[in-house]
Amino acid sequence: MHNIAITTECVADLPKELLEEKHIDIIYFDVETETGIFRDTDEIDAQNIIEYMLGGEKKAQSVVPSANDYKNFFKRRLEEYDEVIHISISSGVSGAYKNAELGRAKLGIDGRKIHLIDSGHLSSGLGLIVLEAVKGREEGLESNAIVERVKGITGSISTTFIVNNADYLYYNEKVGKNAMRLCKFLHLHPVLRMQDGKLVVQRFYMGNYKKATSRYISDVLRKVERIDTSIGFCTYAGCSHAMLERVKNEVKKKITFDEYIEQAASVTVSCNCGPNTFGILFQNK
Amino acid sequence: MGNIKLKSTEVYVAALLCLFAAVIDTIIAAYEGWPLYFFFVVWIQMGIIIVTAIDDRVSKKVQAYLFSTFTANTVFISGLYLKNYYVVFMMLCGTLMLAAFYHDRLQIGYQVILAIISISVHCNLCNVLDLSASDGIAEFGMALFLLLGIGGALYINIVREDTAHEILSETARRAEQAERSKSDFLANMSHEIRTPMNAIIGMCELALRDNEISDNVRDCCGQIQNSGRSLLSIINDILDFSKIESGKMELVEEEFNISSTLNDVVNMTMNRMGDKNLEFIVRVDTSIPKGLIGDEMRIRQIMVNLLTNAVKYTPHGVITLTVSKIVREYGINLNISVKDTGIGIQKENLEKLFNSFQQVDTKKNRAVEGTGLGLVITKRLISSMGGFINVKSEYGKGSEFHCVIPLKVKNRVPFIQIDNSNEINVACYIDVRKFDDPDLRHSYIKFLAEIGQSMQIKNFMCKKFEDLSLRIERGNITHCFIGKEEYLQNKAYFESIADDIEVVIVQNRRDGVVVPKNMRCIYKPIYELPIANIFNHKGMASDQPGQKSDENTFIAPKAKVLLVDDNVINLKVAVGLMQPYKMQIQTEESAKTAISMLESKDFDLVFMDHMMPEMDGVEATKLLRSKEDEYYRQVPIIALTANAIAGAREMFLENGFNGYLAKPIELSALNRVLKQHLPQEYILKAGESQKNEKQDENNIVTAEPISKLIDSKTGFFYVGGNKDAYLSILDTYVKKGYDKKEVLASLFEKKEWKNYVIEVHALKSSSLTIGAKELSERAKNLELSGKAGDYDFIMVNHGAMLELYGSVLKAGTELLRLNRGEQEKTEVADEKPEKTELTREELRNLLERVKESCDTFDNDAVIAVAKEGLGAGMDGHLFRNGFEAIISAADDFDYDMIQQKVREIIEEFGLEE
Repeated sequence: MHNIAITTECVADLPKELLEEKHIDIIYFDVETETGIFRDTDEIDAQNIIEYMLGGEKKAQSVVPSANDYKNFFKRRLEEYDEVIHISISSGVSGAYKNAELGRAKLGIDGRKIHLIDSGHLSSGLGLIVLEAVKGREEGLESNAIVERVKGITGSISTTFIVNNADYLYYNEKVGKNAMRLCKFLHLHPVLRMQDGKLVVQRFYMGNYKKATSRYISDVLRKVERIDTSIGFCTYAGCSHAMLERVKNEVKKKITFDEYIEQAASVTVSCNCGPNTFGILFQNK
Repeated sequence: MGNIKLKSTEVYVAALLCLFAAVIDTIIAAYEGWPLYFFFVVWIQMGIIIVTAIDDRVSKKVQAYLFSTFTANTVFISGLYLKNYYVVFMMLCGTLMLAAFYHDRLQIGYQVILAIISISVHCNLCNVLDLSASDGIAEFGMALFLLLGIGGALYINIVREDTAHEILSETARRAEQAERSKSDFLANMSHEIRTPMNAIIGMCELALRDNEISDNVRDCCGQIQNSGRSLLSIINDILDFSKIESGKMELVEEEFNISSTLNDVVNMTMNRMGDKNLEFIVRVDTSIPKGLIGDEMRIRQIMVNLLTNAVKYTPHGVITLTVSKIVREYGINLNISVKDTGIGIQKENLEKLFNSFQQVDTKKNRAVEGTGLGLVITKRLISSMGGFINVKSEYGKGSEFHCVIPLKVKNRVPFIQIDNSNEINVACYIDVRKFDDPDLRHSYIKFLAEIGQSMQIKNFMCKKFEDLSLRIERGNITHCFIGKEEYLQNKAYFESIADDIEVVIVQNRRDGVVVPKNMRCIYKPIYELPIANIFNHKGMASDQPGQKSDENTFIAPKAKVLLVDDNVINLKVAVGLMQPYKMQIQTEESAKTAISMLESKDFDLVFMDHMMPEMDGVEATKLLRSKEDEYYRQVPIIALTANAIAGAREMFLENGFNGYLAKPIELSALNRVLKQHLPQEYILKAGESQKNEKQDENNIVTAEPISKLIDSKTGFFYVGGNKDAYLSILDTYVKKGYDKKEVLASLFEKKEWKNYVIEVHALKSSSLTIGAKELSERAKNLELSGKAGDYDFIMVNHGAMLELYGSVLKAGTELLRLNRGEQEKTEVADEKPEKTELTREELRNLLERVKESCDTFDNDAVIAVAKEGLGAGMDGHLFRNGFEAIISAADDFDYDMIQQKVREIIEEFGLEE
């Protein structure tokens, strides 16, 4: 049996303890502000960047690791492991997967020991896929079998977020100015969903945000019988403790996850969505 | 009022109202089958509304006029068809109210005119079209009247609003001015308070330097000084906060070396930790560039604030400071992390952690001092440097503050470099099992495991003594780092290997384990900087080969030394280290004042800190050397530096220094520098002076029950080894003691806890001065309990303390009686020494007893037995020299030497069996 490394990116939004416990290695994204470049989740967190953006509408953007960064990252893993399975953020929302491919190519013949997977998801949705790969490794599966298993579950992962307004989507050029203003004008709160590897607006809730979040939770968890209850994530950016408690209680009324993890989103995700964003992410059966 | 800005919500309400009117009309029109042009007009209006609402190029004011016009237009058309003036009236009232929201007089006027025109035209059209509108003339009049009435009322209301607004603006302006005045006042007051505070602290320092003040006065001065420093630190916080609030905080961009910052921060933290049961672990990335550009003082402040917080909120356990970097194109990101195993922070409190004047969990932290400004200042400072701070915490388990600061780099050479690192092989033996705290154990294991990699040397971590000895047997080990306990357990072994391997003992400064001459010692926290100094300064003692003793071997009471460092704690540490040399030490906190001091040309040696604000050590030395007077060219100046880099020595010599001392200061290096640079005529052998002290001490006659209560050795230490002074203090202690005992009993009876605490505090220090350590300790516990309000503890333990106090007083009386009589006897005996003739068997027995005492490390017993041999002899030979050597070795705790001397006597007198 081969010694397999499971790796991903910091945008997988998995708790640090879980990463250490499951021996998951991550490569960091950078976040560029007007004052410097910082390592996502390692040097700065979501709260930092939200406060920074709120204080004077300053811009911050995520920078994906370069092909060389990936090459070095894989090289170091291959010094320890026989093979590497790298599960990347969806190529539909980030250039990370492309750079990972280039990095692998730069390793030449050693590149064959690296299995790259385009997860088609981001944030803890990607994290859930990574955890599935770890499960496969723990069960003693060969690398190809793990890759097949992981690819098989990408369609069953539910990655959605409710966003307070479209301001940050506009700042990061994900929506146009008029769409942003229309959302603001009509008090629309978009729900973003990962679909076919792309982040799309699934629907809008109108009116009070508190009520909108309750309706979001209710809608996203409506098919309880189809949900795998082993693990559920509440991945958030710039939410208060009180808000998270309320979300937890509302989720609890609908479903009981064996493990309910409240996880702060990486800066990359946060600076695209803004404060008071959260998502209930899980795997369907 | 045209200058009043409209709120977005008001515009949205206007637009929504307009859309609402259009939609309602459309529905009615569709139902009633109105002509197509109506739909066309209304829908174009709707389109314009949506486009203008979302396009921010159209000002809100224009939007407001546009929407009200459209609303009026829609209402007008619909009213035309519905033939109902009330609809017109209601809708126009709505638009008028909107205008009132806008607080715009022009809008009101416009709306009223629009209403009149609209209704008039409407009415006329009805007449022309013969729509029986004349039936509604009365309604029209009423509507017009009401509209005008509402308009007037609104106008008055707006005027009132205007006034209110003006009042509000004026109030806001005044509040702003008051805020600014408050900030200025705070800044000025803080500055004004600082000046006398500095004087108070300075005068206390001067008073404390006076050797003739009593213990009570010393205690009081110490407390005034400590309180003064606390107050000064609060004032500094307020001053910083006012500066930040008023935007007057200016950051300095200058080149600095992080080594100096780290040394200061570590010293200050150790000082703050005091007697707390805390371990401090420091981890530093040795590859941080030595030439960083930024505001060093503020970075130091950030580190100190975070560490001060950690010390405050961690009753026991471990505090870890980690400083690392990530290289960026513009320089580096300096990462500072402070992790503790303290009380932690509740999740809901994390959000208000960085709020001004707020201490979280105040109920639990009632005993914790502070203004609640530390973290706010820290965050603002970090933000102003373009960095970020975040915190992770688990309630009850501890917190971790992490900050990142982007810095430019001037010199990329690593700030710690080790010469010939590939030749260094380290064996590290610190038995982590001795730490009860699992966090501490884990931290040490991690530290020891990673230190080799961090310093790019080969490091072998040994868990057991057997592992270490095996590793050393295999050869190649150049340095061996061991803990104090590990050294004491296998003393003989380490002393035997110390000639071939550099053995370094790691201990707390307060441990005070005397390190043999062939070993070295570093104080906790052990981290990359002092370790690098050990590796790099291996050859520094080469002026005196083999001289690595941590003991001062001489004193120089006549020598005058000037110590210059901007950090008070560093000065305190240096003064403490120099105290045993009995020199006359003067301290200064800036290079400028030091230069003024040197005008007296009174100093024999100057220790000058390298990095200081305003004028650094190099600049000051250059200035001094450039003066014409011969004194300034000759006076030896030694640089104090935390630079652990190769080539530092050359740099200092080039700049006029005579040498340098690395911080943290190592005693052997200090000893060497003093010996080399002090005037030779001032250097006196410590042995002679110490011997006199020892003889005095030995002359104290004591007995078993007394020595258990009063340790005269400790007492001697506090009076500088002078027997007369000791007996005089003991006499006073005993005489006043009985009265004090009664006072204590009475205060206890009356439960006057405040005065009781003052009395036990005095008892604590006076008892320690005479060597009554147990009584001092009990008094200390009672004092602490009293201060903490734990009166139950006092109720339980007061009786035992009082009983012990009585016993100590009795023992003191007995000790005085014994020694006053004995003193006379000793004087007579010295005049005519008594010689005792011993048989071979008696001598062998005597030596056997010395050996036995030596094997059990019973120093006192060795000395006592050896004294018996001092006046003895055999076959006309005196044993005095041999036994004096044994006593001297025992004074040094040099048990190997004692064994050797015993062997020599056995050989000399042929006592081998």
